[in-house]
Amino acid sequence: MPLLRGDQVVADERVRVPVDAPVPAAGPLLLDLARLTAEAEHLWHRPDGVGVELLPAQPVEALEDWLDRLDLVALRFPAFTDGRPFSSARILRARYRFGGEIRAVGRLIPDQAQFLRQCGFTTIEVDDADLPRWRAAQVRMSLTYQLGYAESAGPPALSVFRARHARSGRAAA
Amino acid sequence: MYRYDEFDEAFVRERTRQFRNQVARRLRGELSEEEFRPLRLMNGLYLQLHAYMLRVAIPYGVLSARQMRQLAMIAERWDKGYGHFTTRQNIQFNWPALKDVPDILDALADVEMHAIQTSGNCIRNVTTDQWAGVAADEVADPRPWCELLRQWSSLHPEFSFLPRKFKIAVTGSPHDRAAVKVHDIGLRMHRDPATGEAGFEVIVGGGQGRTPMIGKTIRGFLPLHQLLPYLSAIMRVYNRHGRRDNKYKARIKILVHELGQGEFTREVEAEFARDPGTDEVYALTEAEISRIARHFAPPPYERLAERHPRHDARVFASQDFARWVRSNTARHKVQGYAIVNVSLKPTGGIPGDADAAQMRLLADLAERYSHGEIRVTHHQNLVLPDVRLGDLFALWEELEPAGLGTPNVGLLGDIIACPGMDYCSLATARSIPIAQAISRRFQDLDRQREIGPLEIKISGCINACGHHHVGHIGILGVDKQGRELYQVTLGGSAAEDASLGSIVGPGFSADAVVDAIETIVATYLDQRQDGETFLAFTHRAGLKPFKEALYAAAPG
Ligand code: SF4
Repeated sequence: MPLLRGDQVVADERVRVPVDAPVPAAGPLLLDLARLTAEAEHLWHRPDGVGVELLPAQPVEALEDWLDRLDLVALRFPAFTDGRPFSSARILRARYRFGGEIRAVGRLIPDQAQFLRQCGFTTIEVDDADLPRWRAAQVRMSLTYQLGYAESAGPPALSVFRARHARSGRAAA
Repeated sequence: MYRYDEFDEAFVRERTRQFRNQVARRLRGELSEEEFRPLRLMNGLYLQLHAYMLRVAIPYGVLSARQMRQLAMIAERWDKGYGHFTTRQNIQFNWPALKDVPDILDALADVEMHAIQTSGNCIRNVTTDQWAGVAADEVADPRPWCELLRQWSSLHPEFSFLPRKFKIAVTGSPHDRAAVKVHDIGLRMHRDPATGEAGFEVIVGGGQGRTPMIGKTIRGFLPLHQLLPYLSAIMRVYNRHGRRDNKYKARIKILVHELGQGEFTREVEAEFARDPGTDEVYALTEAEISRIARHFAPPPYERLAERHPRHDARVFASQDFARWVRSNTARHKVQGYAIVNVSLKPTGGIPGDADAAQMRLLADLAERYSHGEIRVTHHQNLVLPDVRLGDLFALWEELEPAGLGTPNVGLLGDIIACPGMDYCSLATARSIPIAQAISRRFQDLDRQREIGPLEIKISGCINACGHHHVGHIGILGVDKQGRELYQVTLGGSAAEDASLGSIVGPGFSADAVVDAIETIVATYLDQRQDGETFLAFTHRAGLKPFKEALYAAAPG
């Protein structure tokens, strides 16, 4: 499936490894948590990058020891109403300072794109057929009231509190 | 009151434009109802039994005269000429057409209002004491904090898809008029006895619905400037661990209950310790709160005497006026002023309804007598917060003929009722007609006065929007084999002595429930001790005397 990165559509180059298949010798990977846990030690010499996909019930804390060697964490939304991955992404960025790709996979609606980016997601997996809908519906607020939820792709929404503060600072100066 | 700056204005306008685009896509058939549903819900638009319903946020229940006039205009132009004030300090319009909703939202934005987050599984409109800023017993003014929370919770990227809806209430007084113990988060402002510093008691996991619970205190004293990071920690624990497998177990109260108060508290404190907020967050919170607080500076009060001789004389001369003063006005923190409670519960009326003419009159009266401000209460009444004693009579003379002077605030006729079967698609029984029948039966105001403080609360189904669990008398309408049956609970309270009512016994039919209330009241009047309120009596005497009176006579 293609990926949305900001407004760009990019191809997904990751190899997903079926449960009973061996890990291919080359190419960037996307593994589930069980596979990653089982084979972690054999993966880190690979030049092409290793990613993991978490279900919402799997805490990101489980990745703590590997985060500096992972370059992708994919977080699955079983339904767009299941907001757990928003917190997972936020924790990856804010607490663990994870700098790699965070990908949203699963059932999402286009109107969530900005929230995703603000929580730290960089890419969204979108069905080919859905791409036009996502493009048409990408609605963006240029202002945000929350602190510390910068957007990870595209121009950041202006933080209202910061903007006010800067203005009153200027007024005082 | 708070006024938007250019950022707030731009934010709401942008949001309204987005929704206009979404509605257009829906009307063109590009969005299915299933796809449109989450979008409309995020903008306060429900699909009811007969039509769409738009729920408009009235942040912490504060309205200006200008906003009230705009609500009247909306009611006339796009609805059937009236609006319904709710137990969430909001207003609902029950008959808008979908195509008109973007225009309604624009009209709201023109007066700094919106419908953002009045539905959906997000942080809902924050509520507070309807007497905030003017109550004689207030420790600290909760309104600036409510406004901060309004902004912080608006389109929160992390907390807009929670397991379930989320309600926060704040009180700044020891006498809790905001029902903070039956909210997902209740915040009680108080002062540290040692240092005198103001802070919050943080209460989590209260709620009504089908599993009513009283909230638990997880932090006795939280310094003011830590509020946002601490609330974020609570929200994050809930967002990650709240149940999503069963809609009826998804509120935070169930998580607190299942983890236990101790474990839940530990999780929140651990999360808070990991992400305690940066210096920038604290500095901006402080800068922001002092900016907001300037909007809530006291209006220019006059220096008045404690008593007003002409007012006293009028109270003496007119029994009707005296009755109204006694039940519908309250002590103001400033000498020579009173808080006026406007009852939206005329005898036989629909609790919380106001028509456009009444709204306009209230706007005029607020401008003439109360610094242009109006409050909405969770009892579905309105408040004029700043009225000079000397103006009370003139004000009353205008309220009375408009049907806004019923002297029953806090008395039996001041009934809370959810919309029930008349509007709501979830209802299992009617609630408005029951409220009307009780109100007619007890229309004698001297009798209500004699009975004293008594809160009756009616819900049309187990979801408890009518707050029946915390009614002194609670009435829950259920469906039993196609017939409406009304279950009666006694002894509930939403105030600082919060408690849940107990079911008195088998339910009553719609015809019999009014007689049952009559019997309950008679039992109390007959057996109460000196000065004992209905609530105190039920707590002392328990259900026994009521059971005897209600059921003993029945044969078999
Ligand atoms: S209590 Fe039930 S009937 Fe009443 S408004 Fe709520 S959902 Fe509807």
